[in-house]
Amino acid sequence: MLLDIQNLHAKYDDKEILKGLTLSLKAGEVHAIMGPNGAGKSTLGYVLAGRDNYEVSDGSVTFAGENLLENETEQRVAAGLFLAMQYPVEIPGVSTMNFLRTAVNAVRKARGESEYDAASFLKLVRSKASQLGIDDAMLKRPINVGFSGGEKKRMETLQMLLLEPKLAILDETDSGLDIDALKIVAQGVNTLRAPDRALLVITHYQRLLDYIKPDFVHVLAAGRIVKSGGPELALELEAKGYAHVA
Amino acid sequence: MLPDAAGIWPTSKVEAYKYTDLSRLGKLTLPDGSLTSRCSAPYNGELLTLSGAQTVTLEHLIAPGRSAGQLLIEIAAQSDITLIESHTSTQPGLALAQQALRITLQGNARLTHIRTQALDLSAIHLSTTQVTLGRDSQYKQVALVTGAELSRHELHLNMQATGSRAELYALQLLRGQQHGDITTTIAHNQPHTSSVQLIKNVLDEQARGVYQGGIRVAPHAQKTDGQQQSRALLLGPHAEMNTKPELEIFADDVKCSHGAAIGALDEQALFYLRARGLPLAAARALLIDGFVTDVLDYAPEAVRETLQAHAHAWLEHKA
Repeated sequence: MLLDIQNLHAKYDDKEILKGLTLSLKAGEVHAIMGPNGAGKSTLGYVLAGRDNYEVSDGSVTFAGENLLENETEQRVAAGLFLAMQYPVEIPGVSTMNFLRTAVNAVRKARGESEYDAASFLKLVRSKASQLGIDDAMLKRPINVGFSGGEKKRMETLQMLLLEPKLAILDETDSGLDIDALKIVAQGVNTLRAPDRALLVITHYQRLLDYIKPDFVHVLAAGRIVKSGGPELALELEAKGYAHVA
Repeated sequence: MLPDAAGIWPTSKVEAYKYTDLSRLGKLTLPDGSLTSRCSAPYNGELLTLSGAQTVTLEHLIAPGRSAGQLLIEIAAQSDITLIESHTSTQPGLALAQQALRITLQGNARLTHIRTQALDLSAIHLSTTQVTLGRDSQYKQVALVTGAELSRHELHLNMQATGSRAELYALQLLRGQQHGDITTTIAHNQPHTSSVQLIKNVLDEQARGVYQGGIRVAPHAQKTDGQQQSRALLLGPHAEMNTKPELEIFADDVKCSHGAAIGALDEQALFYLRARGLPLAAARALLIDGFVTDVLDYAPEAVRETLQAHAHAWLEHKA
Protein backbone atom coordinates (compact mmCIF):
# COMPACT_ATOMS: atom_id res chain seq x y z
CA MET A 1 0.00 0.00 0.00
CA LEU A 2 1.50 3.37 -0.99
CA LEU A 3 -0.97 5.49 0.96
CA ASP A 4 -3.19 4.18 3.72
CA ILE A 5 -5.57 6.56 5.45
CA GLN A 6 -7.53 5.10 8.36
CA ASN A 7 -10.39 6.81 10.19
CA LEU A 8 -8.90 10.29 9.68
CA HIS A 9 -10.44 13.11 11.72
CA ALA A 10 -9.14 16.64 11.15
CA LYS A 11 -10.09 20.10 12.34
CA TYR A 12 -9.52 23.57 11.00
CA ASP A 13 -10.22 26.53 13.24
CA ASP A 14 -11.76 24.15 15.82
CA LYS A 15 -14.27 22.91 13.28
CA GLU A 16 -14.15 19.21 12.45
CA ILE A 17 -14.03 18.81 8.67
CA LEU A 18 -12.77 15.27 8.11
CA LYS A 19 -14.86 12.85 10.13
CA GLY A 20 -13.47 9.35 9.83
CA LEU A 21 -12.06 9.22 6.31
CA THR A 22 -10.64 5.89 5.17
CA LEU A 23 -8.89 5.41 1.83
CA SER A 24 -6.06 3.26 0.45
CA LEU A 25 -4.02 3.58 -2.74
CA LYS A 26 -1.56 1.22 -4.33
CA ALA A 27 1.35 2.29 -6.52
CA GLY A 28 0.35 2.43 -10.17
CA GLU A 29 -3.24 3.44 -9.42
CA VAL A 30 -5.18 6.59 -10.20
CA HIS A 31 -7.90 7.51 -7.74
CA ALA A 32 -10.39 10.32 -8.08
CA ILE A 33 -12.14 11.95 -5.15
CA MET A 34 -15.29 13.81 -6.06
CA GLY A 35 -17.61 15.67 -3.82
CA PRO A 36 -19.74 18.74 -3.32
CA ASN A 37 -18.33 22.05 -2.06
CA GLY A 38 -17.53 21.94 1.63
CA ALA A 39 -17.17 18.14 1.75
CA GLY A 40 -13.54 18.43 2.87
CA LYS A 41 -11.75 17.83 -0.44
CA SER A 42 -9.16 20.61 -0.12
CA THR A 43 -8.78 19.91 3.61
CA LEU A 44 -7.73 16.36 2.77
CA GLY A 45 -5.01 17.70 0.46
CA TYR A 46 -3.77 20.17 3.09
CA VAL A 47 -3.77 17.58 5.89
CA LEU A 48 -1.78 15.15 3.75
CA ALA A 49 0.70 17.92 2.84
CA GLY A 50 0.99 19.01 6.48
CA ARG A 51 -0.28 22.58 6.44
CA ASP A 52 -0.20 24.45 9.76
CA ASN A 53 -3.51 25.01 11.51
CA TYR A 54 -4.98 21.75 10.21
CA GLU A 55 -5.12 19.57 13.26
CA VAL A 56 -5.47 15.82 13.10
CA SER A 57 -7.51 14.65 16.10
CA ASP A 58 -7.80 10.95 15.32
CA GLY A 59 -6.83 8.26 12.82
CA SER A 60 -3.62 7.43 10.97
CA VAL A 61 -1.94 8.03 7.63
CA THR A 62 0.82 5.73 6.40
CA PHE A 63 2.77 6.77 3.31
CA ALA A 64 5.37 4.46 1.79
CA GLY A 65 5.53 2.56 5.05
CA GLU A 66 6.06 5.59 7.28
CA ASN A 67 3.81 7.54 9.62
CA LEU A 68 3.18 10.56 7.39
CA LEU A 69 1.66 12.77 10.08
CA GLU A 70 4.89 12.89 12.11
CA ASN A 71 6.78 14.64 9.32
CA GLU A 72 7.09 18.31 8.37
CA THR A 73 5.70 19.44 5.03
CA GLU A 74 9.10 19.48 3.30
CA GLN A 75 9.97 16.01 4.64
CA ARG A 76 6.77 14.68 3.11
CA VAL A 77 7.80 16.17 -0.24
CA ALA A 78 11.21 14.52 0.03
CA ALA A 79 9.44 11.23 0.82
CA GLY A 80 7.57 11.59 -2.48
CA LEU A 81 4.31 13.40 -1.80
CA PHE A 82 3.29 16.32 -3.99
CA LEU A 83 0.23 18.56 -3.70
CA ALA A 84 -0.70 20.55 -6.80
CA MET A 85 -2.71 23.42 -5.37
CA GLN A 86 -6.02 24.83 -6.39
CA TYR A 87 -4.76 28.37 -5.86
CA PRO A 88 -1.01 28.56 -6.48
CA VAL A 89 0.46 31.47 -4.51
CA GLU A 90 1.97 34.56 -6.19
CA ILE A 91 5.41 35.51 -4.83
CA PRO A 92 6.81 38.82 -6.14
CA GLY A 93 10.58 39.27 -6.36
CA VAL A 94 11.46 35.56 -6.62
CA SER A 95 12.16 34.34 -10.13
CA THR A 96 10.44 31.09 -11.04
CA MET A 97 13.69 29.61 -12.31
CA ASN A 98 15.55 30.36 -9.08
CA PHE A 99 12.68 28.91 -7.07
CA LEU A 100 12.50 25.72 -9.15
CA ARG A 101 16.21 25.05 -8.80
CA THR A 102 16.17 25.76 -5.05
CA ALA A 103 13.21 23.42 -4.62
CA VAL A 104 14.51 20.58 -6.78
CA ASN A 105 17.96 20.72 -5.19
CA ALA A 106 16.49 20.83 -1.67
CA VAL A 107 14.47 17.72 -2.42
CA ARG A 108 17.36 15.94 -4.11
CA LYS A 109 19.60 16.74 -1.16
CA ALA A 110 17.01 15.35 1.25
CA ARG A 111 16.78 12.20 -0.88
CA GLY A 112 20.54 11.79 -0.82
CA GLU A 113 20.90 12.58 -4.52
CA SER A 114 23.37 14.96 -6.15
CA GLU A 115 22.30 18.58 -6.72
CA TYR A 116 22.05 20.15 -10.16
CA ASP A 117 24.34 22.96 -11.25
CA ALA A 118 22.77 25.92 -13.06
CA ALA A 119 23.54 24.70 -16.58
CA SER A 120 22.34 21.12 -16.23
CA PHE A 121 19.23 22.28 -14.39
CA LEU A 122 18.39 24.74 -17.14
CA LYS A 123 18.56 21.93 -19.67
CA LEU A 124 16.30 19.72 -17.58
CA VAL A 125 13.73 22.47 -17.00
CA ARG A 126 13.60 23.43 -20.65
CA SER A 127 12.94 19.86 -21.75
CA LYS A 128 10.06 19.46 -19.28
CA ALA A 129 8.74 23.01 -19.74
CA SER A 130 8.48 22.78 -23.51
CA GLN A 131 6.01 19.89 -23.37
CA LEU A 132 3.79 22.13 -21.19
CA GLY A 133 4.15 25.15 -23.46
CA ILE A 134 6.18 27.09 -20.88
CA ASP A 135 8.84 29.35 -22.42
CA ASP A 136 11.96 30.97 -20.95
CA ALA A 137 10.19 34.30 -20.50
CA MET A 138 7.68 32.68 -18.17
CA LEU A 139 10.47 31.03 -16.18
CA LYS A 140 12.16 34.38 -15.63
CA ARG A 141 9.05 36.00 -14.19
CA PRO A 142 8.38 36.07 -10.45
CA ILE A 143 6.52 32.99 -9.19
CA ASN A 144 2.95 33.03 -10.52
CA VAL A 145 2.82 36.84 -10.57
CA GLY A 146 0.47 37.97 -13.30
CA PHE A 147 0.05 34.40 -14.58
CA SER A 148 -3.32 33.40 -16.01
CA GLY A 149 -5.22 30.50 -14.44
CA GLY A 150 -3.93 28.20 -17.17
CA GLU A 151 -0.33 29.35 -16.77
CA LYS A 152 -0.47 28.76 -13.02
CA LYS A 153 -1.71 25.21 -13.45
CA ARG A 154 0.88 24.46 -16.11
CA MET A 155 3.54 25.71 -13.70
CA GLU A 156 2.16 23.45 -10.96
CA THR A 157 2.43 20.55 -13.39
CA LEU A 158 6.02 21.48 -14.25
CA GLN A 159 6.94 21.48 -10.55
CA MET A 160 5.32 18.08 -10.22
CA LEU A 161 7.29 16.66 -13.15
CA LEU A 162 10.53 18.08 -11.74
CA LEU A 163 10.01 16.72 -8.24
CA GLU A 164 9.07 13.23 -9.49
CA PRO A 165 6.68 12.31 -6.67
CA LYS A 166 5.50 8.82 -5.76
CA LEU A 167 2.08 10.26 -5.03
CA ALA A 168 0.73 13.38 -6.70
CA ILE A 169 -2.40 14.93 -5.25
CA LEU A 170 -4.14 17.24 -7.68
CA ASP A 171 -6.48 19.63 -5.89
CA GLU A 172 -9.09 20.99 -8.33
CA THR A 173 -6.43 21.26 -11.00
CA ASP A 174 -9.19 21.81 -13.57
CA SER A 175 -10.62 24.93 -11.92
CA GLY A 176 -10.02 28.06 -13.96
CA LEU A 177 -8.89 26.16 -17.06
CA ASP A 178 -10.31 26.32 -20.55
CA ILE A 179 -10.42 23.12 -22.54
CA ASP A 180 -7.09 23.67 -24.32
CA ALA A 181 -5.22 24.37 -21.10
CA LEU A 182 -6.94 21.40 -19.49
CA LYS A 183 -5.65 19.10 -22.25
CA ILE A 184 -2.06 20.38 -21.90
CA VAL A 185 -2.12 19.95 -18.12
CA ALA A 186 -3.73 16.48 -18.36
CA GLN A 187 -1.13 15.38 -20.91
CA GLY A 188 1.64 16.53 -18.59
CA VAL A 189 0.09 14.72 -15.64
CA ASN A 190 -0.32 11.55 -17.68
CA THR A 191 3.40 11.42 -18.46
CA LEU A 192 3.86 10.87 -14.74
CA ARG A 193 1.74 7.70 -14.70
CA ALA A 194 3.97 4.76 -13.93
CA PRO A 195 3.76 1.42 -12.11
CA ASP A 196 5.62 2.86 -9.11
CA ARG A 197 3.54 6.05 -8.82
CA ALA A 198 -0.01 6.95 -7.90
CA LEU A 199 -2.29 9.90 -8.51
CA LEU A 200 -5.04 11.25 -6.30
CA VAL A 201 -7.22 13.56 -8.35
CA ILE A 202 -9.52 15.78 -6.31
CA THR A 203 -12.21 17.38 -8.41
CA HIS A 204 -15.72 18.75 -8.36
CA TYR A 205 -16.45 17.93 -11.99
CA GLN A 206 -16.20 14.83 -14.14
CA ARG A 207 -14.61 16.80 -17.03
CA LEU A 208 -10.99 16.37 -15.89
CA LEU A 209 -11.49 12.61 -15.63
CA ASP A 210 -12.09 12.42 -19.40
CA TYR A 211 -8.41 13.26 -19.75
CA ILE A 212 -6.90 11.71 -16.63
CA LYS A 213 -8.68 8.37 -16.49
CA PRO A 214 -9.08 7.03 -12.95
CA ASP A 215 -9.08 3.39 -11.88
CA PHE A 216 -11.21 4.20 -8.86
CA VAL A 217 -13.67 6.94 -8.00
CA HIS A 218 -14.67 7.90 -4.46
CA VAL A 219 -17.39 10.20 -3.26
CA LEU A 220 -16.43 12.46 -0.34
CA ALA A 221 -19.34 13.96 1.55
CA ALA A 222 -19.42 15.58 4.99
CA GLY A 223 -15.85 14.52 5.74
CA ARG A 224 -16.08 10.82 4.85
CA ILE A 225 -15.87 8.57 1.81
CA VAL A 226 -19.49 7.55 1.35
CA LYS A 227 -19.21 5.56 -1.85
CA SER A 228 -16.49 4.00 -3.99
CA GLY A 229 -16.56 2.47 -7.44
CA GLY A 230 -15.00 2.40 -10.87
CA PRO A 231 -14.88 5.17 -13.50
CA GLU A 232 -18.61 4.71 -14.15
CA LEU A 233 -19.33 6.28 -10.75
CA ALA A 234 -18.01 9.63 -12.00
CA LEU A 235 -20.44 9.53 -14.93
CA GLU A 236 -23.28 8.64 -12.61
CA LEU A 237 -22.43 11.61 -10.37
CA GLU A 238 -22.32 13.92 -13.36
CA ALA A 239 -25.72 12.69 -14.54
CA LYS A 240 -27.57 12.47 -11.24
CA GLY A 241 -25.74 14.89 -8.92
CA TYR A 242 -24.19 14.39 -5.50
CA ALA A 243 -27.44 14.51 -3.57
CA HIS A 244 -28.67 11.39 -5.32
CA VAL A 245 -25.49 9.35 -4.83
CA ALA A 246 -24.40 10.55 -1.40
CA MET B 1 19.14 72.80 9.45
CA LEU B 2 18.12 71.69 12.90
CA PRO B 3 17.82 72.73 15.66
CA ASP B 4 15.92 75.99 15.15
CA ALA B 5 17.33 79.45 15.85
CA ALA B 6 16.57 79.09 19.56
CA GLY B 7 18.51 75.81 19.63
CA ILE B 8 15.43 73.64 20.11
CA TRP B 9 15.13 70.21 18.49
CA PRO B 10 11.62 69.06 17.52
CA THR B 11 9.75 66.67 19.82
CA SER B 12 7.12 64.17 18.74
CA LYS B 13 4.50 66.85 19.47
CA VAL B 14 5.51 68.51 16.23
CA GLU B 15 3.41 66.70 13.62
CA ALA B 16 6.24 66.26 11.09
CA TYR B 17 8.30 64.54 13.80
CA LYS B 18 5.45 62.51 15.29
CA TYR B 19 7.33 59.21 15.09
CA THR B 20 10.88 60.53 15.29
CA ASP B 21 11.40 62.57 18.42
CA LEU B 22 14.69 64.45 18.16
CA SER B 23 14.55 66.30 21.48
CA ARG B 24 17.20 64.05 23.04
CA LEU B 25 19.72 65.44 20.57
CA GLY B 26 19.63 68.70 22.52
CA LYS B 27 21.40 66.93 25.38
CA LEU B 28 24.25 65.71 23.23
CA THR B 29 27.54 67.50 23.53
CA LEU B 30 29.77 66.52 20.70
CA PRO B 31 33.13 67.67 19.46
CA ASP B 32 33.42 68.86 15.89
CA GLY B 33 33.42 66.06 13.38
CA SER B 34 33.71 66.17 9.66
CA LEU B 35 31.65 65.44 6.60
CA THR B 36 33.74 65.15 3.47
CA SER B 37 32.12 64.81 0.08
CA ARG B 38 34.07 63.33 -2.78
CA CYS B 39 32.72 63.51 -6.27
CA SER B 40 33.97 61.83 -9.44
CA ALA B 41 33.05 64.96 -11.42
CA PRO B 42 34.81 68.28 -10.80
CA TYR B 43 32.83 70.72 -8.70
CA ASN B 44 33.42 74.10 -7.37
CA GLY B 45 32.81 74.47 -3.66
CA GLU B 46 29.19 73.60 -3.17
CA LEU B 47 27.92 73.61 -6.75
CA LEU B 48 27.97 70.70 -9.11
CA THR B 49 26.73 71.08 -12.69
CA LEU B 50 26.17 67.94 -14.70
CA SER B 51 25.35 67.61 -18.37
CA GLY B 52 25.40 65.06 -21.18
CA ALA B 53 25.05 61.38 -20.48
CA GLN B 54 27.23 60.26 -17.60
CA THR B 55 27.47 58.37 -14.35
CA VAL B 56 28.80 60.31 -11.39
CA THR B 57 29.68 59.03 -7.93
CA LEU B 58 29.28 61.16 -4.83
CA GLU B 59 30.68 59.76 -1.60
CA HIS B 60 30.02 61.32 1.79
CA LEU B 61 32.47 60.27 4.46
CA ILE B 62 31.36 61.02 7.97
CA ALA B 63 33.78 61.13 10.89
CA PRO B 64 32.64 61.01 14.55
CA GLY B 65 31.51 64.30 16.08
CA ARG B 66 29.15 66.90 14.79
CA SER B 67 29.17 67.86 11.14
CA ALA B 68 27.08 69.30 8.36
CA GLY B 69 27.32 69.65 4.64
CA GLN B 70 25.37 70.89 1.69
CA LEU B 71 25.57 70.70 -2.04
CA LEU B 72 23.71 72.14 -5.00
CA ILE B 73 23.41 70.03 -8.10
CA GLU B 74 22.18 71.30 -11.44
CA ILE B 75 21.20 68.80 -14.09
CA ALA B 76 21.38 70.51 -17.46
CA ALA B 77 18.56 70.41 -20.00
CA GLN B 78 18.35 67.25 -22.15
CA SER B 79 20.96 65.42 -20.09
CA ASP B 80 20.76 61.88 -18.76
CA ILE B 81 22.66 61.48 -15.49
CA THR B 82 23.12 58.62 -13.07
CA LEU B 83 24.20 59.82 -9.65
CA ILE B 84 25.48 57.19 -7.23
CA GLU B 85 25.49 58.71 -3.77
CA SER B 86 26.78 56.88 -0.70
CA HIS B 87 27.02 57.69 2.99
CA THR B 88 29.61 55.84 5.03
CA SER B 89 31.46 56.32 8.31
CA THR B 90 35.21 56.74 8.38
CA GLN B 91 35.32 54.92 11.74
CA PRO B 92 32.98 53.86 14.55
CA GLY B 93 31.97 56.48 17.12
CA LEU B 94 29.09 58.79 17.84
CA ALA B 95 28.45 61.13 14.96
CA LEU B 96 25.67 63.60 14.34
CA ALA B 97 25.69 64.54 10.69
CA GLN B 98 23.28 66.76 8.81
CA GLN B 99 23.29 66.97 5.13
CA ALA B 100 21.34 68.79 2.47
CA LEU B 101 21.28 68.22 -1.24
CA ARG B 102 19.43 70.58 -3.55
CA ILE B 103 18.90 69.31 -7.05
CA THR B 104 17.44 71.16 -9.99
CA LEU B 105 16.43 69.36 -13.16
CA GLN B 106 16.18 71.53 -16.25
CA GLY B 107 13.76 70.79 -19.10
CA ASN B 108 13.82 67.22 -20.41
CA ALA B 109 16.60 66.24 -18.02
CA ARG B 110 16.73 62.80 -16.53
CA LEU B 111 18.34 61.89 -13.23
CA THR B 112 18.65 58.41 -11.78
CA HIS B 113 19.73 58.84 -8.19
CA ILE B 114 21.05 55.80 -6.33
CA ARG B 115 21.36 56.47 -2.64
CA THR B 116 22.89 54.17 -0.04
CA GLN B 117 23.25 54.92 3.66
CA ALA B 118 25.43 52.38 5.46
CA LEU B 119 26.74 54.42 8.37
CA ASP B 120 28.15 53.01 11.56
CA LEU B 121 25.42 51.81 13.93
CA SER B 122 26.18 54.57 16.45
CA ALA B 123 25.68 57.40 13.95
CA ILE B 124 22.80 59.84 13.77
CA HIS B 125 22.07 61.00 10.27
CA LEU B 126 19.61 63.70 9.28
CA SER B 127 19.49 64.38 5.59
CA THR B 128 17.34 66.26 3.16
CA THR B 129 17.11 65.97 -0.58
CA GLN B 130 15.20 68.71 -2.34
CA VAL B 131 14.45 68.26 -6.00
CA THR B 132 12.90 70.79 -8.35
CA LEU B 133 11.66 69.28 -11.57
CA GLY B 134 11.52 71.24 -14.82
CA ARG B 135 9.32 70.61 -17.80
CA ASP B 136 9.17 66.95 -18.95
CA SER B 137 12.02 66.06 -16.61
CA GLN B 138 12.30 62.73 -14.82
CA TYR B 139 13.72 62.01 -11.40
CA LYS B 140 14.11 58.48 -10.10
CA GLN B 141 15.59 57.55 -6.75
CA VAL B 142 16.45 54.02 -5.59
CA ALA B 143 17.52 54.05 -1.95
CA LEU B 144 18.95 51.41 0.36
CA VAL B 145 19.27 52.20 4.06
CA THR B 146 21.03 49.79 6.40
CA GLY B 147 23.06 52.05 8.67
CA ALA B 148 22.87 54.54 11.55
CA GLU B 149 21.25 54.19 14.94
CA LEU B 150 18.89 57.00 14.06
CA SER B 151 18.33 58.28 10.57
CA ARG B 152 15.83 60.46 8.86
CA HIS B 153 15.83 61.20 5.20
CA GLU B 154 13.46 63.84 3.92
CA LEU B 155 12.76 63.95 0.24
CA HIS B 156 10.96 67.05 -0.99
CA LEU B 157 9.94 67.07 -4.61
CA ASN B 158 8.63 70.14 -6.33
CA MET B 159 6.93 69.26 -9.58
CA GLN B 160 7.22 72.77 -10.97
CA ALA B 161 6.46 72.16 -14.63
CA THR B 162 4.09 70.03 -16.67
CA GLY B 163 5.15 66.60 -17.88
CA SER B 164 7.53 65.96 -15.01
CA ARG B 165 7.69 62.57 -13.34
CA ALA B 166 9.23 61.37 -10.09
CA GLU B 167 9.78 57.88 -8.76
CA LEU B 168 11.04 56.79 -5.36
CA TYR B 169 11.89 53.18 -4.54
CA ALA B 170 13.29 52.87 -1.04
CA LEU B 171 14.31 49.91 1.06
CA GLN B 172 15.22 50.07 4.74
CA LEU B 173 16.81 47.03 6.40
CA LEU B 174 17.04 47.66 10.13
CA ARG B 175 17.71 45.63 13.24
CA GLY B 176 18.71 46.04 16.88
CA GLN B 177 17.79 49.49 18.18
CA GLN B 178 17.91 51.16 14.76
CA HIS B 179 15.34 53.78 13.86
CA GLY B 180 14.95 54.77 10.22
CA ASP B 181 12.60 57.49 9.01
CA ILE B 182 11.73 58.28 5.42
CA THR B 183 9.60 61.38 5.10
CA THR B 184 8.53 62.65 1.71
CA THR B 185 6.54 65.56 0.42
CA ILE B 186 5.63 65.73 -3.21
CA ALA B 187 4.14 68.96 -4.42
CA HIS B 188 2.30 68.57 -7.69
CA ASN B 189 2.19 72.23 -8.65
CA GLN B 190 1.43 71.94 -12.35
CA PRO B 191 -0.93 69.82 -14.47
CA HIS B 192 0.14 66.50 -16.02
CA THR B 193 2.74 65.49 -13.46
CA SER B 194 3.12 62.07 -11.93
CA SER B 195 4.81 60.45 -8.96
CA VAL B 196 5.29 56.88 -7.73
CA GLN B 197 6.59 55.85 -4.31
CA LEU B 198 7.31 52.31 -3.17
CA ILE B 199 8.74 52.11 0.33
CA LYS B 200 9.69 48.79 1.88
CA ASN B 201 11.01 48.08 5.34
CA VAL B 202 12.43 44.85 6.73
CA LEU B 203 12.57 45.28 10.50
CA ASP B 204 14.15 42.83 12.87
CA GLU B 205 14.59 42.74 16.66
CA GLN B 206 13.49 46.12 18.10
CA ALA B 207 14.02 48.18 14.96
CA ARG B 208 11.56 50.92 14.04
CA GLY B 209 10.71 52.11 10.58
CA VAL B 210 8.85 55.29 9.77
CA TYR B 211 7.35 56.39 6.49
CA GLN B 212 5.47 59.64 6.20
CA GLY B 213 4.36 60.17 2.64
CA GLY B 214 2.92 63.52 1.75
CA ILE B 215 1.32 64.32 -1.57
CA ARG B 216 -0.04 67.78 -2.27
CA VAL B 217 -1.92 68.54 -5.45
CA ALA B 218 -2.38 72.26 -6.18
CA PRO B 219 -5.84 73.48 -7.28
CA HIS B 220 -4.91 73.88 -10.95
CA ALA B 221 -2.70 70.76 -11.17
CA GLN B 222 -5.24 68.67 -13.06
CA LYS B 223 -4.35 65.22 -14.49
CA THR B 224 -1.96 64.58 -11.62
CA ASP B 225 -1.13 60.94 -10.98
CA GLY B 226 0.28 60.28 -7.52
CA GLN B 227 0.75 56.82 -6.08
CA GLN B 228 2.35 55.57 -2.91
CA GLN B 229 2.77 52.11 -1.42
CA SER B 230 4.34 51.15 1.87
CA ARG B 231 5.11 47.55 2.77
CA ALA B 232 6.83 46.41 5.93
CA LEU B 233 7.97 43.01 7.02
CA LEU B 234 8.32 42.63 10.77
CA LEU B 235 10.72 39.80 11.56
CA GLY B 236 11.00 40.40 15.29
CA PRO B 237 8.10 40.51 17.76
CA HIS B 238 9.26 43.93 18.98
CA ALA B 239 9.90 45.51 15.60
CA GLU B 240 7.63 48.42 14.74
CA MET B 241 6.53 50.26 11.62
CA ASN B 242 4.77 53.61 11.57
CA THR B 243 3.20 54.67 8.30
CA LYS B 244 1.41 57.93 7.74
CA PRO B 245 0.09 58.83 4.31
CA GLU B 246 -0.90 62.47 3.96
CA LEU B 247 -2.80 63.39 0.83
CA GLU B 248 -3.95 66.95 0.29
CA ILE B 249 -5.74 67.20 -3.00
CA PHE B 250 -7.14 70.52 -4.17
CA ALA B 251 -7.76 69.59 -7.83
CA ASP B 252 -10.68 67.42 -8.96
CA ASP B 253 -9.38 65.61 -12.04
CA VAL B 254 -6.55 63.57 -10.50
CA LYS B 255 -5.59 59.99 -9.75
CA CYS B 256 -4.06 59.46 -6.33
CA SER B 257 -3.73 56.25 -4.40
CA HIS B 258 -2.00 55.00 -1.30
CA GLY B 259 -1.69 51.67 0.41
CA ALA B 260 0.09 50.26 3.43
CA ALA B 261 0.69 46.72 4.61
CA ILE B 262 2.56 45.68 7.72
CA GLY B 263 3.04 42.11 8.75
CA ALA B 264 4.99 38.93 9.16
CA LEU B 265 5.88 36.56 6.33
CA ASP B 266 2.84 35.32 4.49
CA GLU B 267 1.75 31.94 5.87
CA GLN B 268 0.29 30.86 2.52
CA ALA B 269 3.51 31.62 0.67
CA LEU B 270 5.58 29.80 3.30
CA PHE B 271 3.38 26.73 3.02
CA TYR B 272 3.57 26.87 -0.76
CA LEU B 273 7.37 26.89 -0.75
CA ARG B 274 7.58 24.14 1.88
CA ALA B 275 5.12 22.06 -0.14
CA ARG B 276 7.72 22.24 -2.92
CA GLY B 277 10.38 20.81 -0.64
CA LEU B 278 12.07 23.92 0.79
CA PRO B 279 12.96 23.61 4.48
CA LEU B 280 11.39 26.34 6.65
CA ALA B 281 14.58 28.40 6.97
CA ALA B 282 15.19 28.32 3.20
CA ALA B 283 11.56 29.22 2.50
CA ARG B 284 11.77 32.21 4.85
CA ALA B 285 15.04 33.35 3.30
CA LEU B 286 13.61 33.11 -0.21
CA LEU B 287 10.52 35.14 0.73
CA ILE B 288 12.55 37.87 2.42
CA ASP B 289 14.89 37.92 -0.56
CA GLY B 290 11.93 38.32 -2.89
CA PHE B 291 10.51 41.16 -0.79
CA VAL B 292 13.84 42.98 -1.03
CA THR B 293 14.57 42.21 -4.69
CA ASP B 294 11.20 43.58 -5.70
CA VAL B 295 12.47 47.10 -4.78
CA LEU B 296 16.07 46.82 -5.91
CA ASP B 297 14.97 45.61 -9.34
CA TYR B 298 14.13 49.25 -10.05
CA ALA B 299 17.81 50.15 -9.95
CA PRO B 300 19.66 50.30 -13.28
CA GLU B 301 21.42 47.09 -14.17
CA ALA B 302 24.87 48.56 -13.65
CA VAL B 303 24.34 48.99 -9.89
CA ARG B 304 21.65 46.41 -9.21
CA GLU B 305 24.06 43.63 -8.32
CA THR B 306 26.00 45.80 -5.90
CA LEU B 307 22.80 46.82 -4.12
CA GLN B 308 21.62 43.24 -4.01
CA ALA B 309 24.95 42.03 -2.63
CA HIS B 310 24.71 44.72 0.05
CA ALA B 311 21.18 43.62 0.94
CA HIS B 312 22.15 39.95 0.92
CA ALA B 313 25.03 40.61 3.28
CA TRP B 314 22.51 42.17 5.65
CA LEU B 315 20.12 39.24 5.30
CA GLU B 316 22.84 36.66 5.83
CA HIS B 317 23.94 38.38 9.00
CA LYS B 318 20.48 37.40 10.22
CA ALA B 319 21.11 33.70 9.61
